[in-house]
Amino acid sequence: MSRIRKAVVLSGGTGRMEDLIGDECKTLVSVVGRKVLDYVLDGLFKSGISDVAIVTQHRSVEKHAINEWAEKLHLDIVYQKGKGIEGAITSASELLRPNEVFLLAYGDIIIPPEAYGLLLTTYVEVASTMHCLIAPTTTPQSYGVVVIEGSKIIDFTEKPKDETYSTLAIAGAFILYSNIVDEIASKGLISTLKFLAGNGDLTGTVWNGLWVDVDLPWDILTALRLILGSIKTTKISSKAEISSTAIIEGPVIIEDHAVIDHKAVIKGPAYIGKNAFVGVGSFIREHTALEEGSTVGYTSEVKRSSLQPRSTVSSLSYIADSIIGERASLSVGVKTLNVLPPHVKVERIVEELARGRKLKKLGAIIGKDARVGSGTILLPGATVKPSAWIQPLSTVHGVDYSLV
Amino acid sequence: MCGIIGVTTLETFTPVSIIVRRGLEKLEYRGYDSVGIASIHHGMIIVKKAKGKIADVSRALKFDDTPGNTVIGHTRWATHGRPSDENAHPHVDCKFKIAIVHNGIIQNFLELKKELESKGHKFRSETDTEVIAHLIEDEYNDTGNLLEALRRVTSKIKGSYALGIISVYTPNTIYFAKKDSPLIIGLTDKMKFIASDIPAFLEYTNEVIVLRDGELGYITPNEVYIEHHGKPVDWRGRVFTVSWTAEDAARKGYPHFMLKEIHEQPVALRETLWGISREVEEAAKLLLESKRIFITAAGTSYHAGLIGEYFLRRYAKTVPIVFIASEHRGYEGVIDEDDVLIAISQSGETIDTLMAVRMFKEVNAKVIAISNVIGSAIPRESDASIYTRAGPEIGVAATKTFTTQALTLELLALTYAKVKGSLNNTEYNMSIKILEKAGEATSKTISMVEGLCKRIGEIIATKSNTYYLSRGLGVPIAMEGALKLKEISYIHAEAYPAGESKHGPIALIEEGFPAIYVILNDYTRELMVGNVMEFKARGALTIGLIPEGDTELKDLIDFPIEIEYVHPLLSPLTYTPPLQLIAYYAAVKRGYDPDKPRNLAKTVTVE
Repeated sequence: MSRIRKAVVLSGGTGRMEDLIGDECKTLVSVVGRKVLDYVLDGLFKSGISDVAIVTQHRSVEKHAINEWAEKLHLDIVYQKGKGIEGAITSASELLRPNEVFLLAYGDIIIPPEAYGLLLTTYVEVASTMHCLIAPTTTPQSYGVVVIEGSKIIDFTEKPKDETYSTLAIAGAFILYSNIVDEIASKGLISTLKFLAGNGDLTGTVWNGLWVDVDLPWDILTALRLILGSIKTTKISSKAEISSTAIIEGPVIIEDHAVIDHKAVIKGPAYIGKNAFVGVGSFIREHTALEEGSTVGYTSEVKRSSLQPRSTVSSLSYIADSIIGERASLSVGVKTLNVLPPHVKVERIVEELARGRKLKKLGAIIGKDARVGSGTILLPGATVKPSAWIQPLSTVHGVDYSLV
Repeated sequence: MCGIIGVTTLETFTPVSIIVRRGLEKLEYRGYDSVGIASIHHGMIIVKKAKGKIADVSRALKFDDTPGNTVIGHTRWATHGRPSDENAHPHVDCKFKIAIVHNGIIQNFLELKKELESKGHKFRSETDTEVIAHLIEDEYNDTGNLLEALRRVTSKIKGSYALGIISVYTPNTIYFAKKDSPLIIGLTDKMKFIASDIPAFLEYTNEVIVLRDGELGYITPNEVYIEHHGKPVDWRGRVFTVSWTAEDAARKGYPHFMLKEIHEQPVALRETLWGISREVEEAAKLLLESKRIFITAAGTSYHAGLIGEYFLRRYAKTVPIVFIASEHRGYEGVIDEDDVLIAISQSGETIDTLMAVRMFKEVNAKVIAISNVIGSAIPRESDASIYTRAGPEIGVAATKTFTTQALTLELLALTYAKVKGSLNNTEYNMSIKILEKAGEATSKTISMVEGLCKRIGEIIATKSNTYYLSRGLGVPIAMEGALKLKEISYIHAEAYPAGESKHGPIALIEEGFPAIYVILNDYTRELMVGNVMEFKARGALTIGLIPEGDTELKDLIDFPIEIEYVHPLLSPLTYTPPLQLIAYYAAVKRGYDPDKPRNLAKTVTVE
């Protein structure tokens, strides 16, 4: 692994997740027992980066990073001055020397450490002003995409209207020459990328594996599908409490002090976090993560969903393709509906094959600290804002996330 | 891909020639056929070079005993001129004062060579590189300054290069220049290196500067000078430390060579088109003198042969006979001296193809070889050879060598049609214009489809059978797609002319059975619609490469992949990479190493 010593991690903003996290930082959402930011820092650490500057607006990011990573990485926390990516990069520029080569990573992408390794090793051959990790995608309209010729990026477009323009997305990890930082600050990142592509000074390398840009709430579900989909073996902590009549069909990860009550069925791939609770007769299905301290009551079914830390799904509920925010609580008998009408287009959601039919699926997005009353029906794409209270027996309609 | 190393130092425990020899060994993975070194000693240039393996050549020529503290070395992978002792690098000027090593291709070397010959320069090799040695000599005579000479030379040459130059005029100095070929500098206190790649000097230092396009300069034992557009470059912030092993370096961090080679296709196609015109003209002459044309090959090359057949029919109005190389005995006794055989083999060593070549030579028929390896067995035994410029292909599954073979056969068919008179000059020139788009078309196609192909590959990975269906020119493309899938993902895949699918294959179709359609933008399109409907009606999962903007097909097919470049001459080059990518991602999803499929070898040398 080549050793560029320094990385700048952009961990600003709520992204398009306000409905789920309020004004928290999106890099702190939980995915299979870790924060998104942890995936980034772990990848940088494992690929030989020693100095990391984290640019953020959130004290919580500082606290988390120092607690978890200060022993392994030399950390600088920089509070963001200007707006957007440009502002973030400029804020970090005082830590960079002239003519320095450094790694720039978005704090909200999930890729394995090997992907950072790929970026670093391929840089040696190209030595361009800016070298980018590229990821194949099926929803190019949602990203910056490139046209490549070998390792050269010959064209770049942000969120192309034409879906056949390119399916290779800028993944959110770069190696760049510090001298270009001023250029980015004045021209903006997109114009700089275009300018460099025009000059033959922008290169990239295609990463063939797991990549998720966690920007929209349902990106968490994509991450669960890919991460849980790749686990091969069941791991159950000896400190977990598994009742004698529970049924566990692998692959499943069950962490310390999790409780699986009688006749609960866990059908993997699934993740049951620390101190999580699965009540009597409940059915936890594929691609579900019950993050730390979350609870599922008596005879509820949960599939392809994320229960963020300390959230609750009470008894007799059906939760599918949904994201339940931190400490949010769904009362008894809340049901989600999860098949989107065919004409509705939701950004980054593609049709999947289900028993020969092509369907687009999305359940509900429940903001942190929200409470949903008993017997409520949540229609596809329904959103409950953070800290909102929904009366019992309500019907919450889906929000139209259509791409205009 | 040639490999370069250069070392300069004032004092050393290990002789510099040994450091260079070891460095060359570390560059072996790049593929090579010849090797050489040059050193400066007591105002003289010593050059030792020959065709062959590093171990043999360095022992025979006593590389390790070469005196001198400034030494350059080179592993050559032939592009211009066959592998031979003369064509091996380093190359020298007329007066034996300047020696140079080069990785890359000089496009305008023929005109430069003519110009230099008219000035009285004597050439010793057939390479493009040698013109640089003489150009530098020329400019040095004018300026008396090697750096200025190098500046002038780099403005004259067109193409790609990484250069290392030593000269008796400035001992202890190695000049360098880089454009589109990799070159890096290695640093220690008392020793400086240039090399194509880090492993070459990783034993001695892990402090490197990666050079950027357009940079040139020199190294001395205690100095590094780099400039760009005549302006000195401050390189101090660009030094970085490498902490990987030589093995990591060989694959350049790419997950697999196959993916790297799929992405190299645009460049490989462009370099092939630049390089082959003279060879193709000679081959076309042989075709013109013959009565019947046979084409033979095995595996992927056979599919390229079928593409060649299509274009010979279409443009040259000739019906060639294509056969699988291992079936050559069936033609014994019916061939004679008026026949010509086009033998296609990436390695040039495929035993079945070689046996077919020998059978044709026996009756004094003519043979045209199409190969990616200069001087290999089949070209050696042939009357004319055309070399695809794909560069070494390391992944066992052929990718860039297939598309470059297809391009080569297209150009051969067009050229033959022109000399034969079945294609007029205007038509020919228009066709060449289209072929010149090959690089751009392939690059755009790969960028357009890779995300979709990854998803489709991951779906196919869960299946155990696949049909690949097409018609006309699309059939060999479908055959190649099916071969790729079975080779590396071990999923049974069968290609069929779509019209034949009713005569058997359709019996297998049930809910979710995948069928991949290759639908070109010609008369076959209408017929293909019917074939898709038949399968769909029986529950097949349909995946299709379709012409861009064809909304009827887009709505009909479950997973459509739109292809922008659909001209017949381009479609073998644009429809194939998506099929390669589907196979690649299916194999990766199933957890197999696509570079090393079980039971398969890159070069098949047993009958």
